[in-house]
Formats: sequence, C-alpha cells, structure tokens
Amino acid sequence: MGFTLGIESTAHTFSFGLCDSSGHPLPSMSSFIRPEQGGIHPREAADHHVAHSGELLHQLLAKNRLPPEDITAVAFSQGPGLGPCLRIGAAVARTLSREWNVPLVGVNHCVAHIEVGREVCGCNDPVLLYVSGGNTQIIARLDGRYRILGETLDIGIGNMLDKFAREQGIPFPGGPRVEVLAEEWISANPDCGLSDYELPYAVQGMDLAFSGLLTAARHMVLKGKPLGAVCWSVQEHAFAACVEVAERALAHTGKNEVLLGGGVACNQRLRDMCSLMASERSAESFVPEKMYCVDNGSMIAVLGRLQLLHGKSTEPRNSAINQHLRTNETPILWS
Amino acid sequence: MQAWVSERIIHVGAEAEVGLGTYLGQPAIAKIRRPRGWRHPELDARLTRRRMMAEARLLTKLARAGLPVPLIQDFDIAASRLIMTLLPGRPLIEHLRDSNSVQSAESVLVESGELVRRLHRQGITHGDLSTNNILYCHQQGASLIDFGLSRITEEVEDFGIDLHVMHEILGASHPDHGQAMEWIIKGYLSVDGEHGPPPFAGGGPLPSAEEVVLRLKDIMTRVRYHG
Ligand SMILES: Nc1ncnc2c1ncn2[C@@H]1O[C@H](COP(=O)(O)OP(=O)(O)O)[C@@H](O)[C@H]1O
Ligand SMILES: [Mg+2]
Repeated sequence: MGFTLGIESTAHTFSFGLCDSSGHPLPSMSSFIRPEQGGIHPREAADHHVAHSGELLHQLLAKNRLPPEDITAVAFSQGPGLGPCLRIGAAVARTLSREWNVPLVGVNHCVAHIEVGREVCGCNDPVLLYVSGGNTQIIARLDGRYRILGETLDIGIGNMLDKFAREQGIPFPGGPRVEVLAEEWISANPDCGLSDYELPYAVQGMDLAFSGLLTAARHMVLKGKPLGAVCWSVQEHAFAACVEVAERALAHTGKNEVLLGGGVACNQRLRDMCSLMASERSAESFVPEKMYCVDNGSMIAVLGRLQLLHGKSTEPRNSAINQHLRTNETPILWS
Repeated sequence: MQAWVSERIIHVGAEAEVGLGTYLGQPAIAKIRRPRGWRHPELDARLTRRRMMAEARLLTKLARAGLPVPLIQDFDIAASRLIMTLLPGRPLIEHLRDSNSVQSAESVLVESGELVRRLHRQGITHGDLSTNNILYCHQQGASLIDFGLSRITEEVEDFGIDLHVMHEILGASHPDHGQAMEWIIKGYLSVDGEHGPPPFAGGGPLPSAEEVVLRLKDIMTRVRYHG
C-alpha cells in the first residue's frame, strides 16, 4: 500500500491531504472561503471548492514530491455537511479514482476527526469532545461504533461563536478573534468578576444548548458592557459546559482518556480546561495539533486507509453523499 | 455522638463524591459536591449552590408527593454536603448489563418510563435521566436519584428534552437493548390512561404524555438535521 489521498469538502474548507502506508498523516493543502458578509452560502462555497481543487492537488503532490502513481487510494468526506460542498469533493474523488485506477473510499467526517486524533495523539479508547462549527457532540466507542452520548440541541458551539462575532462586526470565522479579545481582556483585568457577566449555562444530562447564551451575550453588549469582557464570559460559560459533559461521559462510561477534536479545539482556554479536568480525575487529556483539529484532508485519508484495510471501499454507485450522516452510523472494524 | 459516620466512597461522579455511611445510626448516603478547579471559581460556586438547592428542594417536594426518591436528612451548604436515605437496588445501567438479571429488561424499562411520567406530572423535569440515576430493586421497583439539574416547568419542550437525554444514553450505552426507548415510552404513555389527564401546575395545564412523546420525536429530528 502506498499513500492514501483524502479530500475534505463538508463546508467552508476544501482540502487535500495524505497519509502514508503506516497510517500517519502528512500536512494538508487547504483553501478556505471567507464570506464577504453573513454566514457561509453553500453554493458560493461549492464554487470556491471547484475553483481551487486543481491547484491544491498540484501543490500537495509537488510539495511532497509525490508522483500520482504512489497514491493507492482516494478517500473523501461522504457526510455530514452541506450538500453542494460535499458533492464537489465526491465528484473530484470519483474522477481521480477512475483516472488513477485506485479504490474509492467514502468516509464519515466526524469519525475522521476521531481517528486522526487517536493516530497523532496515541490514545486508545477516549471519550471524544467534538467541537466544531456545526457539530458539538460527546462520543464514546461501544460495540464497534462511536456512539453519541450527548450533543447540542440547537446550534454548534463554533456557529455560536461565529454568529456572536459577526454581530459585533468581526468577520467569519470569528472564534479565533473572540479568543484573542477574551485573552486581552482578562490579562488587562485579572480581577474581573464573572458574576458581573453572568450568562446561561445549559447542560441537560450530556446534552447542551447554546442559543440562549448567544441571545444573552448579544444583550450584554447592547447594554454597553465591554466586548472583551463579554467574549471572555462567553468562553468561560460555553467551554465549561462542554468540559462538564465530557466529565460526565468519563464518569458514565468509566473511561479514562478524553480527546478533543474539531475546529473549536484550537482554542487554548478550552484545551487548558479539558486537561485540568482530566488531571483532577486522574484521567488523561489529548489534543491534536491545530492543523488536525480544523477540517483537513489528511484526517479523511487516515480514516479512508483504515476502512480500506478492512475491506470497506466504496463502489461508485454507492458513493452518493449523505448530508445527515450520523457519527454512530459507521461501523468501526479496527481496534 | 457524631450524626454522620462515613464508611466508604461508593462513586466519584462528574459532580459529586458519593459516600455510604450512617446518619444517626441508620444507613445513609452523603453527596459532597467537590469544587471544579477547571471552571471559573465564581461560575463553579454558582452552579454548585444552585444544584444543591435544587436537589434539596425538589427531593423534598417529590417525597411529599409520594414519589420514590431519597429523603433529605441533612443539608449543609457550607460543606456542599447533602445527606439522604439509602435507597435499595442497583442502577439501571447494571441491570441492563447483567444477563442474569431476574427481571426482564422490558419490565424494568416500562416501570422506569412510568416513574418518569409520574415525575413529569408533578411539573418537574429530572435534567439528567441517565441509567445511573434510576435505581431498580426487585422488591420495591424503580426509584429516582440525582436531582441537581432538576427544574420546575410546564413547558412541553423541557419534558421532551428530558426524554431526549434518556434516548441518547440508552442508544449509546445499551445498544444491545434496541427497544429500550420504546419500552420507556410505553410506560410513560400508560400513566395518563390510569390517572387521568395531567394536573395543573402553578401556571397552567401540563402537557399530556402524548404531547411530550411527540415533542421528543420533533427534537430528535431537529438535532439530526440542525447542521
Ligand atoms: N440515595 C441513594 N441510595 C442508593 N444509592 C445512591 C443514592 N444516591 C446515590 N447513590 C449511588 O451513587 C451514585 C452517584 O450518585 P448521584 O447522586 O447520581 O451523583 P452524581 O451527581 O455524581 O451522579 C448513583 O449512581 C448510585 O449508585
Ligand atoms: Mg448520577
């Protein structure tokens, strides 16, 4: 087996990545659409993906000095995600697989976030806190599936951060800027009390909700509270809720590893909270490098290779995308 | 004489440490909420306080209404400690994983569903309906514990979310019991038939069991297609 090419195209990112024959990912080559205003428009994103796919693939192969003959499989995100975006990735994958005459493998995007994390962090049987734009789930493996113990009932945590930021004039994606503003605020005001910036904290069992927090944070800014302070408070409340459900999942399943994944896992405050939580209960916390937290083609390659090793390639006639694919629908055949 | 005598810790949960011991000589449970160092201390204090108050207040209310829940024996907010009576039985999670269990999974789950409906008919949600928080005993049946996230409400959405938590945990932790949620719902729906339409809570009529189950289906669809 040579290299597996992975294609990620579920939302705003189009990315090609690779993993080697031992399953180790190599850095991806990605392009990202930044909407001029508002959130992402699926069709505009799809147009962007079409426009960039050729040059990105060329750059990836050139950078790694890899002739196409060394690629022995093509994997792509089959879902979940935005239909128009997913269709571009799937079409590119079908074309390359036919042209190079190598197997095609459709994979579950959420499961790819888990498997790349396990691969690069070397953890074994973690509870996964998966925090991205559209998804916020708490996941654990049982009987050959990654099962959802709890999730957001309304919007994903990343979408909440981006929406809040956008209303304050911060361009998409707003999450990283919210992090900077929060950090600057608390460094400049280390004695700031959180009680002056109280926000809703919605945890029900292992389910979460963020739209109430978003509304309350918006009002807080309208009432004239400093934006930095509100950003800080949003992070303190929203991340604590996520880490709390991760802790509940550890207690409930009896597992002792927690793995962070998804784009919001780039946030340092969330990383710190999660590792503190783990150490307080003698568990271990794992976080992949940022490039493997955000959407990336390499994670698709990692999962594609695993599936292929276990006989799960995808016939072109079964390669239709599934916008609403669930984490627990994909059989996990490897240990 | 010391009122509470601790024997051993029986559970280190996500929120509290639970110890077994005696209170005035009788078997009892102490639930001590530890501070969470990873969370901002003010937020942590607010949550701990709110949850302790909710647990003590609603346990008292439910015990008065005759529901099978622990009785509060001591409430010490400064020490974040709640002492309550020991209930018989084992958590549902153990029954469902024990193939030698005398009672069929179906009867245990139907009975649990009935109990959840009886709780909802008080205008109260549980907030954390996991299989750790329902105890089952062959002689005395099902009982409920762990009311820190419990709330008084009349909203059909809140009751639906309560069932959704249970639906997710049954699917994730007990996939070998594929019908588990159907049995819960069967029990949940049976109670109104027996006891008549739900009573009025403080602000208005409570939703019927059918309305709550319909809302659960709605929430499941919404969660699945929210992206
Ligand atoms: N009153 C009680 N009687 C018997 N067992 C109990 C009682 N309260 C708690 N337990 C046991 O302790 C465990 C944890 O208690 P719980 O109140 O659910 O705390 P946590 O918030 O940490 O989940 C339960 O799953 C159960 O096994
Ligand atoms: Mg509990």
